[in-house]
Amino acid sequence: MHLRARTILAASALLACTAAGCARGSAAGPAASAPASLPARASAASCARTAAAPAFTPLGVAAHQSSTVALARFGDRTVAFIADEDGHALTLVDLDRRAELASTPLPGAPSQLLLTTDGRVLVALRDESLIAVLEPTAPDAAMRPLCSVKTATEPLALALTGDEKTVLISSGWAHALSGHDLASLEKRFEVDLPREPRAVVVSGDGKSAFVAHAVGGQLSVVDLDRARHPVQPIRMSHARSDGTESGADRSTSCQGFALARSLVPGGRIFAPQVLVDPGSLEALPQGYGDSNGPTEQGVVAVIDEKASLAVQGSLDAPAEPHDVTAGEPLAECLLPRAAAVDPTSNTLLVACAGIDAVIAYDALSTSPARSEIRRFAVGGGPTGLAVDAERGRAVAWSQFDRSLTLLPLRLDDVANDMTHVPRPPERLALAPLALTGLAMQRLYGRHLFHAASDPRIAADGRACASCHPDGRDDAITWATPDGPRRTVMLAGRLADTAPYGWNGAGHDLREHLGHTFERLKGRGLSSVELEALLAYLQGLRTPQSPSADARAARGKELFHGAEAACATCHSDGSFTDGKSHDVGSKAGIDKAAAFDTPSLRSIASHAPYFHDGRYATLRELLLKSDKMGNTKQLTDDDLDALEAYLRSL
Amino acid sequence: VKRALPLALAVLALVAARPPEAGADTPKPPPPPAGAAASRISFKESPELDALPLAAPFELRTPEVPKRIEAREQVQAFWSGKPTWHIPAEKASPAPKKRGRKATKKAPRHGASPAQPDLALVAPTPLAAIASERTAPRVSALENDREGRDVTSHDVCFSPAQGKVPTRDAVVDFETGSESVLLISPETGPGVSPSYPGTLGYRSTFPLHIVRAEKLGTGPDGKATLSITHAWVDERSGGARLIQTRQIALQPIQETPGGLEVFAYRIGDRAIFVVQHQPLVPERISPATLEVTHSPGSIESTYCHHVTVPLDVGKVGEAETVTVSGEMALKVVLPAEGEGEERSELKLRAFRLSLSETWLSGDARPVLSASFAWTGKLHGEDGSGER
Repeated sequence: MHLRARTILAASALLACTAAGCARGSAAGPAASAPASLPARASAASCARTAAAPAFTPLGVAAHQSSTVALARFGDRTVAFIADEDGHALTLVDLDRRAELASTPLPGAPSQLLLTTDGRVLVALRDESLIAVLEPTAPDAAMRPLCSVKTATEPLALALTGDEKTVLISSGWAHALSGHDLASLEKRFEVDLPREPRAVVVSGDGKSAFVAHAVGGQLSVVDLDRARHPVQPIRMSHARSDGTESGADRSTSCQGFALARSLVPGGRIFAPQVLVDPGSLEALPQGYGDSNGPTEQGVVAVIDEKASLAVQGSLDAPAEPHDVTAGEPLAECLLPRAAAVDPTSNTLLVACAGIDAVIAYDALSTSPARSEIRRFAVGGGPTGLAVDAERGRAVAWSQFDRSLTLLPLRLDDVANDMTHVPRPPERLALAPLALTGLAMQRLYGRHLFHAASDPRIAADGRACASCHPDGRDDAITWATPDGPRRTVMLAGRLADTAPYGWNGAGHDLREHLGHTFERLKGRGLSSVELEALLAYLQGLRTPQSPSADARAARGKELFHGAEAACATCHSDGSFTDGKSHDVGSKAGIDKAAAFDTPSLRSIASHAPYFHDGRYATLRELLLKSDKMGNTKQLTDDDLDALEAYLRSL
Repeated sequence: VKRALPLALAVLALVAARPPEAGADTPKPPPPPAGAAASRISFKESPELDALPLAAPFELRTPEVPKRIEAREQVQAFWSGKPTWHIPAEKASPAPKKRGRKATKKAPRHGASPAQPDLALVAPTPLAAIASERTAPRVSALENDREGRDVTSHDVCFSPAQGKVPTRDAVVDFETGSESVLLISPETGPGVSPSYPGTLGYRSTFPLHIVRAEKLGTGPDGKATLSITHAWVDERSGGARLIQTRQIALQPIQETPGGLEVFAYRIGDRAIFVVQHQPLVPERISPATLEVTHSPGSIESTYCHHVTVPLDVGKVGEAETVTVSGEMALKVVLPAEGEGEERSELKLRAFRLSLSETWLSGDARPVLSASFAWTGKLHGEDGSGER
C-alpha cells in the first residue's frame, strides 16, 4: 500500500507539472524573477549587510549549522528559508499563514543555506562552487544579492564557529574544509579531507569541527585551534549483529550526510550512518554481500565531543526481535539526509530519504537507533530539518516533491491514546516548476533511484542510492557471485562506456540494470519506470575536474605515449576501449581473469582502484600494477605528471 | 499462530463474558503499587540519577552451606518443592539446559491448550520454585484452566546463582534472566524434565542452590518497593532456608501509553530500572513475554510481570542501553455503527521501551533516559485489522 501510495504521489507530481505546461527552469511561485546577479567579492565591505535591510532572528541552530531549510522570526512571522536545489532558488515560506512569500532565483543549484545573526543568508551553490551572500529586503520580496565567493569544488554544507567569526565550508568533490572570515568571506584556511565530506558541526568549545562523510566509514575531526588544523578520523563501524569477529573486521559504514549537536546536555554529536556488511570477500554469495545477515542497517552514532570517540553501543544495530510483531518490521532509515535536535524534548530528528519519513529518536539514549520514539511521513526526498522549539514544531524540506512538512513535536496530545495512529502531518507544496518532459522523467527516475524498502529494487530494502550515494559510489568492495567487486561511480561515467559491469556482461545499461535487480532479488521495474531511471542515471553529472596545467600536459604525453601505453586500452574520449583484458589482477576467488576496461573519467574521485579495490591511491596503482601499461619504471616527476593528468580527467 | 492462540482463547473468554468459576484458584496478578505510579503517561522521561533512591552496594556473599534442608522448612517469599510432575506425552521434551546471559532463547507463549487427559508420570522429579504452593499442582501438570487461562502467578521472579555455589565467603553471581517458575533437575539421570513456557530450568550437579526471588510491591508508606529474597533451596527435599531479604524503595519514573510502569533506584552511579508489565485485563489475559535486549545477540525473554534492568555504567566513558519489548493487549473503543453503541475490542500492539545510561566526558553526572515507542500497528490476534 505504501509503495502504491508513493507511486501515485510521484505520478501526481508529474501530472501537476504537465498540467502547468512545463518548460524547463522557471518557478511559478510568487516574487520570482531572473536569477540574482551575484557580484564577486570586491572587498570586505562588499559582503556586509546594508543598514536598511530588515532584520530576522534565526531560530535554533540556523545561525550555526546549515541545512536545506532554516527558520527565522521575521517580525511577527515565522519564516522558512528554503534552498530549493531543483528550482535554483531561495524561497521563503510563512509557516503561520501557510503561504509562499518570495522566491529569489539563484545562478546555480543551492545545496544548503546558513542564516547569520547579522541578517544575511549564505547559500552554497554546489554546481558553481560559490557561496552566495544575500540579504532580505522584505519578507515577501526577492532577496538582495550582496556578493559571492569562489570555494573549493562543490560546496555542500556550512557551519559557524562559536565566536561567529569564521564560517566553515565543506566541499564534497574537492574533499576539503575551508574556513572563511564571516564578515568578509575571505578564505583563511583550507584542509584536505577524505572523500565526500558532507555535514559540518562545530564542538561546543569551538575547538573542533566534526565533518561527516558520505563514504569511507569515518567522521573527520578538524582541529580549529592549532595552526595547520590537523585532521583525526573517528572510525564509524561495528561488529555485525551476530557479533562475529569476521563481521567486525569487514563492517564499515556510509551515508554520513547529516550531523546534529545536542545543546543540553552538551558534548554530544549525532551522526546518522548506515552500517554495511559487504560480505566475506573469500566467498561467492548469490547477491551483493552476505545473504545470511543484513547487509545494511541504519544507526545513529553518538559522538563524545570531548573524547572524539563514538560512544560504545551507539553503533549497535537495532537487532530487536521483530517476531514479536505480527506485522512487518518498520522500514529502516538507510538514506539519512538531515538531522536536528529539539532541545525542549531532547528528541533527535532524522530525515530519511528512500522511506520519506522523519524519525524521532531519544537524544539522551546511548543508542538512538534502539530508542526510536515515533516517525512522521513526509514529502518525497527529505533533505532538511529545522526546529522551532518555542512553538513545539519542526519542518522538513523534501526536495523531490518540493514540499515542507510541519511536524508537531509535543507528544502530550497523543500520550493517553493507546491506539494512537498519527495523522499525516500537514504538508505545504511550493509552486510547481515548469519542466520539460525529460526533466520530469529524470525527477521520477531520481525518486526510483532513492526508493528504499521497495521490493521492485531489492528484497532487503536497499536502494540504488545505498551503494551509489548521490549517484556516485560507496567506496566499498562487495562480495558478489563473481568475486570481490568494487562499486563503480555512476555519475558522468555512463555515456559511451558500454559494456557495463566488471565482467562486461551488460551490453547496455538496461541489461546491466536487469542483472543488478536480479542480484538484489528485486522484482524489477516496468518499462516506463526503467526509462525514467535510465534518464536519471544518464543525466547525472560530476563537477568539473581541475583544469590541466603544465604538469598535467606532460602527464598527457606519457599517458598517450608508447612508454606508459595507458591509452592502449583507456582510449578515446570515454577512456575505455569497451573490451575485457587480463592484466594479472585475478584474485583467488575471482571466477574470471579478464575485466572490462573501466572508464577513467573523474578517476581521482573514486578511490580505491581495481575491481577489488586493492589499490588505495592512484600512486599505488601506478607503482604496483604489473601488466597494466608500463608505469612502474617512471621517474617520480613523471609519476607526478601522470597523476596530475589523471586528476584532470 | 502459536503466539496468537492463547490470546485468541482469552479474547473468546472475554467476549463470552462468563463469570469466573466459583472457587477458581486463578491467581490474581499483583495490584499496581498504590500511589506508586508515575503521575502522567509519557513517551519519554529523563530522571536525574541523584534523585533516585540510593540502595547500598549489594553483594551477597556465600553464607555457611547447610547440610540439608527439610521439606517442611520454607521461606515466606515463595514456595519450593518437588511436585509430582504429570506431563502430557506431546509436551515432554529434553530437560532445559542452563541459560546464560549470552543465550538467546524465546519462550513460547503460555497457556496454549487446556489440560490433556493422558498424563504421564515423569522422573526424576525436578525441584520447582514457584510463587505459592497453591499453584504448584497446576504448574506441575502444565495445566491451564478450561478457558486456556494461565494459572501461574508471575509476580515473583526467580534467578538462580551462576555456576556452582562456592562453599563459603565468596561473592555470589546470579543469572541476569529471571522467570516466574524456576526448575532445577539433577545433571544426570533418566527421564525428561518439563520444558514449560514461563520457566527457567537448568541441570545441576550439586544439591544445594542459592535462589534469588524478586517481587514488586508496596511499602508501608504506600510507595513502590522491590523485595529481594535470597534463600537456599535443597534439590533433594524441596526445602528452602532464608539467607536475607531486602526491601528497596523505588522511584516512579514513567507510565507509558498502554500501561507499562517504570521505576528506578540506584546503587552508586549505576541506575537500576524496574519495569512492570501490567496486563490490561489481568484476570483474563495471559501475560505476553517481555524481551530484554542488552546488546545485539544478547536477548532474554520472560513471562514475569516485571523485569529488573541494571545498567552497567560506573565511570566516565561508559554507556549502556537496554530495551524491553513485547506486545500489549489493548482495549480499543470502536465508534458506534448506525444506531448501535460504542463497543470495545482487544487488539495487540508491539512496543519497545528503551532504557539508557550514558556518562560522556563532558557530563558531570550520568544521564538517564527512558523512552517508549509503538513498534507495530494495532492488529487482531489473527493479524487482522491492522491500522
